[in-house]
Parts: sequence; C-alpha cells; structure tokens
Amino acid sequence: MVQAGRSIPVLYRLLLRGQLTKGRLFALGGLAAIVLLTAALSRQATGSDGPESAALFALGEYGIAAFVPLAALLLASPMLGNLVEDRLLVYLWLKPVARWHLAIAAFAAVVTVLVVVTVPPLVIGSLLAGQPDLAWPLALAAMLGSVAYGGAFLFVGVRFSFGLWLGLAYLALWENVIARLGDGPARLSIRSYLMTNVQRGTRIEVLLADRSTWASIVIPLVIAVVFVALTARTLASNDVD
Amino acid sequence: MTAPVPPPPAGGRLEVELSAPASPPPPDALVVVDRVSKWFGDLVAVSDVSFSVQPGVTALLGPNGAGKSTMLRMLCGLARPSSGTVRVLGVDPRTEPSAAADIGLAPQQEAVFNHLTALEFVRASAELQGVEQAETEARRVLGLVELDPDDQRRLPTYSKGMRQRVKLAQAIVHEPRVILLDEPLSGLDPRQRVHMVSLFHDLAAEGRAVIVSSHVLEEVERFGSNVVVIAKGRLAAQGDFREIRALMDDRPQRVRIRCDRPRSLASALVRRSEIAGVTLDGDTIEVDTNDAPELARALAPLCVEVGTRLHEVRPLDDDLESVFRYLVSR
Repeated sequence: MVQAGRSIPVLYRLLLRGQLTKGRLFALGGLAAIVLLTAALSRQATGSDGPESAALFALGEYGIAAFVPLAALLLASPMLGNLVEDRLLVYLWLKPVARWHLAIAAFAAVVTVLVVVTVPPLVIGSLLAGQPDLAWPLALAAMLGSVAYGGAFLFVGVRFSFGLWLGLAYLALWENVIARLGDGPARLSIRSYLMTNVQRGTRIEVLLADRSTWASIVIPLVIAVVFVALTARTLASNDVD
Repeated sequence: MTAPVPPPPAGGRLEVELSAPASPPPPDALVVVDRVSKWFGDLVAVSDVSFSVQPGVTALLGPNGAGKSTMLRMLCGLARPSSGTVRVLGVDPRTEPSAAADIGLAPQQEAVFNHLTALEFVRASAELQGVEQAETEARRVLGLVELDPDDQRRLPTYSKGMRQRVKLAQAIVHEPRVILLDEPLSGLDPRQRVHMVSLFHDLAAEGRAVIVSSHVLEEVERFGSNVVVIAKGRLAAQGDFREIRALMDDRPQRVRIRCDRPRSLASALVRRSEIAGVTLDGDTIEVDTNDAPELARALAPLCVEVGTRLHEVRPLDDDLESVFRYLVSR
C-alpha cells in the first residue's frame, strides 16, 4: 500500500487543479462581488445602528449564511461527484491507496479553494463597511463554514447523483426555514454555529446565534470529520463505474 | 474447451439455478473467477461464470452488452460480484486495495482528466502506484505506446487513438502482473493496431496475464490467444481461439440463393449431403447447410450442370451475433 504521505499530496494536486474551471471561478467571483458591493453600500444606511445592522445583513446573512454554503456547494458537491459521473474515479480508485486518502485529499482541495475564495472578501467587506470588529469573527466563521459545509457537500456529491439539488434543498429549506422554528432544528443547522461566531463581533443580536462558544467552534469540525469518514466509507463500498 | 453452457434464462431475468462446481484452476492461474454472477435489480449482467487466466494474452470475446465490461470491472475490484468469488493473485481485489498494485486497467470510457497532459496523467498514476522513478517510468511507457512525453497539449485535444494509448500507458506504468484492457484497439489505425498487439504479446511474454476484451472476431484472431467467450452474461466457451474458430466454421448456416431457374437448382441441391434443408420462394432459395465451405465450392459447378445463372448468394447468419447465439445454444 502507498503511504498517506505519498498518496495524499498527489491526489490533492490532481483534485485541486481539476476544480478550478472557468465556469466555477466565474460563479464564485460573482458571489464574492456581491459581498463586497453590499458591504460597501451598507455604509450609506441611516440611523444610529443603521450601518452596523446593514453590514451585518450583507456580511452575516448573505456572506456567511448564503455565500459560504453556496460556494461550498459549487466546489464540494462536484469534487468527487463529477469524477463518478464522468467515470474518471476509476483512475484514482484502482490504486493501492486506502480510500480515506482519497477522501482526505478531496476534502483538503475543497477547503483550500473555499478559504481562499470566501475569507478575503468577507474581511475586506468588513473594512469596506467600516466594521473592523467584524473582520476576525467573519474570517473564523468562513473558515469553519468552509470546513463543515465542504465536508458535508463532499459526501452528498459522491453519495447521491442529485447531490447539488439535495444541498440546495438543505440550504433553502432547512437552514432558512426549519432551523428558525425552534432550538432543536437549529442545532442541526451548520448556520447556527457559524452565526454564533459572527455574534462575537457585534452588539446587535444575530439570528440563530444561540450556541455556546465551544460548540460554535468544535461542532463544525466534528461535522467535517463525520462527513469525510462517510465519504471514505462510500468510496470503499460503492461500485465504481 | 469447457462443456457447453445452457442458454440464459429468458429475457436475462434473474433465476436461481444450481450448476456443477467449476474444475480446480491450474496452479499458475493469476486470475480465478469462480461461479460469479452480477445483477442490477432483477437484470442479470453476468450469470454463474467460472474461468481462470494464466500468463499470456487472453481475449474476452462477446457482442456488445454481453457483460464483458462488467466482468472486467469485477476482475479489478471496481464492482462487487453479487455472488461467487474473484481472486487476483490469490486475493480479492474488491476488499484488498493493495491488490491494485498488481492490476493495470485501461477502461473503455473515453473521458480523461481535462487539465492534464499525457505525461502528467501517467506520472500521477505511477506516483499513486508507489513507483519510485515516476517521471522516468512515465516517459518510458509513453514511448512504448509511441507518444511524445514532452507533448504539452492537454488530453482532451488528443485523438481517440492517442487517448487509447495514454490509457494503456497509465495501465502498465507500474508493471502489473495482470493487465485488463477494455476494447483497447478501438480508434487505432491499422499500423497502431499491429504495434499494440505486438506490445500485448511482449507484456505477456514477461509472464503477465493480459486480458483484452473485444467484440470483433478478426481482432481476437490476431491476438492468437486463449479466448473466453461471453454472451448474454454467460460463459459460452473457453479455450484456444483456433478451436473456437473451427466450432464457428462448423456451425449450421443458412444461405440465400437467387437465380433464374430456382426449381432446377433446388432439386439439385436437395440431393447433396451437406444440405440439411431447402426452401423455395419465387426466385429465391434458402438453404440450410452443415458445411458452408463445401456448399460454396459446389455451387458454381452445380449451376453449370442445371444451366442456371446466379444472381445472388448471401449467408443470412454470418454476423457476429449469430455466431455468439450458436455458441450459447450449443
């Protein structure tokens, strides 16, 4: 068997380059531009809490709760899902390499791009909005979001042929509707853990930011570990075309 | 040759049946397939197939949709048999990823990594196989398949034949003992085909098992190899190609003959020993023969004898499908 130290870097390089298509970069660039634009416009809001509240909407409600998960869905869901669909997985699967090496490499490739794509616009956006106190909480939330959503959507993409739609349904229905119905559903929403981190940078109450400090950091990491393990298990158990 | 196998269940639907246990594989067998079946829902793709493969070139022959690709996928562990066992060098390639170090596969699909050059693709394959001098080996095998390792073009710009050769290169870069090639000559020009067949023999001469799937009889003839014939998911025959070829040539065939005096010719034909039956319809005679070559030799003199002019002589079941049908139904 090829050791993880040799196989994971090769797989990582292969998969990292493979996801940087023009279409995806264009879509991610568009989503990031909206963050910067709305953050800049938030300065124009009136009232004593107006600019901060508007910045929170632009960078939290849109930036963390929409931009980060959508970017994760765009990158993570097709990462292995497209390899399955295009029948290219065989070239990575039929190697003397443990399946978890492939899952880890794919996850690392997704998170690398996600962090590069999501963190800078959010940090720059907080400065454009005149809310520098939000910069670090937003950066932390974006990184944790990249890890949690990246792991979850990586699994969804390799397990289900309709992974992209399943991810969209989770974001639209669970995170935006059902999670608001009570504490139970909110605990099953990645968004609530991320928004708790955002809450640290503002005195204005943030929706769904009800988790404890440790949970807001540890749970997204646990989610990633669980879904990467499920991805490895799926790779080991499913037939490869 | 193995004993003839009974025809598959109607419509390829799942039926449980018991068959005699397979004979023990030869001691030098690198691949052993023992009563393997694979079904998807209630559709049977491969049904109760047993065979073994020794070093050398072995052709997996069968019409499109016969189950060859499914069988190849099970041989390298990509698919799990629904029942039965596959052993490659004594281990189950499905549950033991280390078996992949001894297996090389060139799959049938044309898709390639869009962002890679041939060298990058083959080198990555070598690295993932744990090859020490990955770059050097990648360059060597690309040379073997007559491709330029320094070609900077991305794989999607390659012709189908070039992509086939890249797939072959990545399959052999780690010098596996079992090489599985799914329709590898497809898309190659005649000169490249000759070169590839020669390469298969070179690889086999080094003690490797080279299993090549094909649906083209003439292609398999050039391998001059052992043949495993699969039709409708069943093992139709296994053995030396010449024996199977003879079996195919000896099978009953139907020939259509059109001439200007069909009744006279039909009367002359029914008296011949190689003719099993004659049907007359207008100016057309349909002849069932047990010896098509003898009929071909006798037909012209017979026409001269009865004073008729031939308009058409056409075998009605000379296509590959009918050959496989015959082998399955024996």
